[in-house]
Amino acid sequence: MFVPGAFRFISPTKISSGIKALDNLPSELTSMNAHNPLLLAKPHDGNTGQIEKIINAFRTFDMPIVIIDTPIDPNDGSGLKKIAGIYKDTPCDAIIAAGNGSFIDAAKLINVLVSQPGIDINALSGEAIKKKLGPFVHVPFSGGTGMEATSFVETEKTTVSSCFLMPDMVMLDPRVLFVKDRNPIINASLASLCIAVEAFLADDAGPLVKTYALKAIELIAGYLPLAVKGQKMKTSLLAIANAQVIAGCAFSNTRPGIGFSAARHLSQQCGQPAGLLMAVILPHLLICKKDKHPGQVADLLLPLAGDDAYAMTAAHLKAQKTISTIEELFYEVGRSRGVTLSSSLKTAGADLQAVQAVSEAVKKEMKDPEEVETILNNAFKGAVLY
Amino acid sequence: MGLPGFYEFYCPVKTVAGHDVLEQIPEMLTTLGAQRPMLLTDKGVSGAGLAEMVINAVQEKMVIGSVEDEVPADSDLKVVNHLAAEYKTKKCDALIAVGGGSVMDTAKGVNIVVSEGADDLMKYTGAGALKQRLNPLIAVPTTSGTGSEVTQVAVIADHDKNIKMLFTSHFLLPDIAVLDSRMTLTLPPVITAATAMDALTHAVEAYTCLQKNPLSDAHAVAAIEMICKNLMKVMRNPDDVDGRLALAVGANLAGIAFSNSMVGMVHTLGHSVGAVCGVPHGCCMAILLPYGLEYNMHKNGNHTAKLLLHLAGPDMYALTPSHLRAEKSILSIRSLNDQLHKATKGKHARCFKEMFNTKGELMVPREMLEPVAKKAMGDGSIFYNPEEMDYDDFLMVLEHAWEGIVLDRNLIRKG
Repeated sequence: MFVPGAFRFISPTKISSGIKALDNLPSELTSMNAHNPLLLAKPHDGNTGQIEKIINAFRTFDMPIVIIDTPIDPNDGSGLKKIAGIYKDTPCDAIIAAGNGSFIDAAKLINVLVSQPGIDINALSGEAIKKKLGPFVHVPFSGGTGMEATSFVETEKTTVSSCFLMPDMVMLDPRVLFVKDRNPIINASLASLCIAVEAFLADDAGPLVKTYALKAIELIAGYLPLAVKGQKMKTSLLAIANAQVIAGCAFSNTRPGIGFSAARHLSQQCGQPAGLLMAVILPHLLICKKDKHPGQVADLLLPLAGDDAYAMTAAHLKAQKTISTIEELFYEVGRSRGVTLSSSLKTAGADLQAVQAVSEAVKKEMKDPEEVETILNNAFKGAVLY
Repeated sequence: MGLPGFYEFYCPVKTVAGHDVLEQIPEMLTTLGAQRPMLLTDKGVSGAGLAEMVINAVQEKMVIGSVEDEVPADSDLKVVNHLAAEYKTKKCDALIAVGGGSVMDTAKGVNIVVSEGADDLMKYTGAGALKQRLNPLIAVPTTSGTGSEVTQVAVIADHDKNIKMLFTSHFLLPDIAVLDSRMTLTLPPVITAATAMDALTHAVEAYTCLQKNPLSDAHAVAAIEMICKNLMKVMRNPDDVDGRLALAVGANLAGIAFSNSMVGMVHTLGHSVGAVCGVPHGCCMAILLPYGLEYNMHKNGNHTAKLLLHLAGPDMYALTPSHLRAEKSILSIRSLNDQLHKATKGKHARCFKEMFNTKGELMVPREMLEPVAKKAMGDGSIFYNPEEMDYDDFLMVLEHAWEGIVLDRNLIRKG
């Protein structure tokens, strides 16, 4: 693993994963000097009683808990301020955010409001969050965007990044990860896989980023195929949830990549989840990177295919094998769900003008604008990779 | 790849690494709300000019409240309390620890006392004694290494009572670990070898013992690769700054791994040899590591086999039949010890009968093996070892490690 001349890394999140992890929630809050948490719980359509399972952790512990289980929107400034008001008036001293997707963005913004009074969340920037926020524990449900454990918060107006936005703790308990519909898992897993790959390949990625990224990739490659077939569900969903957090930590320590940036912009235009779009772009991105950094693309084969396949593949073939292994993974995932994951941005519903506009926008964010255009053009056409 | 039924992983220490990152320390302290640090180090580090390098880097932009280089080789309770009093007298508000394990432990101990507004570290023994964040602490390791810059443990000796106290709390974790290649550039070959083997042992035991988890595994294999690819390069060319940085990063990764998954019998025996015979910790680790893997092979050989990929590379892994990979992993480590022995002209010991002090005296006389085995009975790290061990088992392993002969696995009593 290459060590760059200089790098920085921080992952302030404590991960607690496994059987009855949630039972430790009250004592973990105590160790954070928190004694009056506010539980923000996303109502779950599947009604599998997740919220009840979280509340049960407090029944035998002498700790009061305030519960808000209505939807919250990161774009609803007045709604967020109202909840911040409840936090302050109670008063609460920690937030437990149970759920996924934009619900967690909203919960993070509430934490900013209560920790830095007077801050304007409509004009928020990463630099504006100057110090550690109040205690924030994330209890994930399955699915989501894959961005919940990252340093990012996204609203319609802006994307804000600060290491202080990473949760203090993520509790991964199989009891609240169960889902009836497996499709949301696919989007979240693909998003996490892609951001992990991009984090690994990033110019500013140090050894710690790569360490986290490789583990996230290994977990998704190993367990996503099982999860979509409904096999070993308890372990598979837990492993995928772990991977999402781990990928988020890696991603939070590098600059966002082309796939992530483009998919974010295109998602609204073509109505497809960002994770699926990232998966369309990824093979084309790897083809481009293979020519410039063949060793790094080759290194990705290990977590994707395992020790034996990695070791037995000739050195000069590893990079290409990485790409074909990813393609096989995507094919297998789609086949298990009876669909074919789109092979091009065009078949995914993106139109050429939108792709070109996104390409222009993403070029401004990246060091190599030519690379952006090549990758997105090929991804639009679904260019042949072999 | 399995998932443990339950695990926890936590390392909030920020890592800042590079060839000239010491100069960023004032900015780091300012971000932490500090402006008048105390710099803690020992005579060895200051004699090597390393402390001065850090002082020069910091005082361009920030006043250093106090420089203390009296930290002993074995961190001491009285020294901790004395330094804490100096910290308060000099109105310091942060600590910069520059050194190896003892300096780091001392800094953590001092930080407890000063942050709690106390005058005696002894008031904070016992589980759960610390309940809030401590003052800012920046760790600058000068070996590669103990990994103390990322552990939540401090060992402080009370020499009056002849006991060692273990303080454990996530509040003890430094805020920032600064890995600058200049800090290990002049590390002598014997110490480079010993400290790298200490780090390798951390990583290997983290991966093969009972409390392993996905993230500690990830850090462990990355550490093993970093160390194995760079150690002999640095031994041949001590001025290799990239290699030195890689070893520092490897030790850091290994520290993160083992502090989140614990260690096993190599450390159990190593602590005891160190305590009874005064052998440096890294030397004990280098000698005992192959024996730990041999002893546990019937329980965790599958994990040891997987390590071959990272110890020796994909070609060796592919060429080795799967049922022989664990043995080959152990052979790789023995081979590394052989190479280090040669590179240090015999000073890096491969077995205890090769271990001599500066006066040429044998550091581990054979008759001391029994007291060492007895001492090992009281070391808690054995709980995480895959196979149980009692006095006879400890003695058996020590006797093999003394002679430098491959462990006779027929003598292992399998639990």
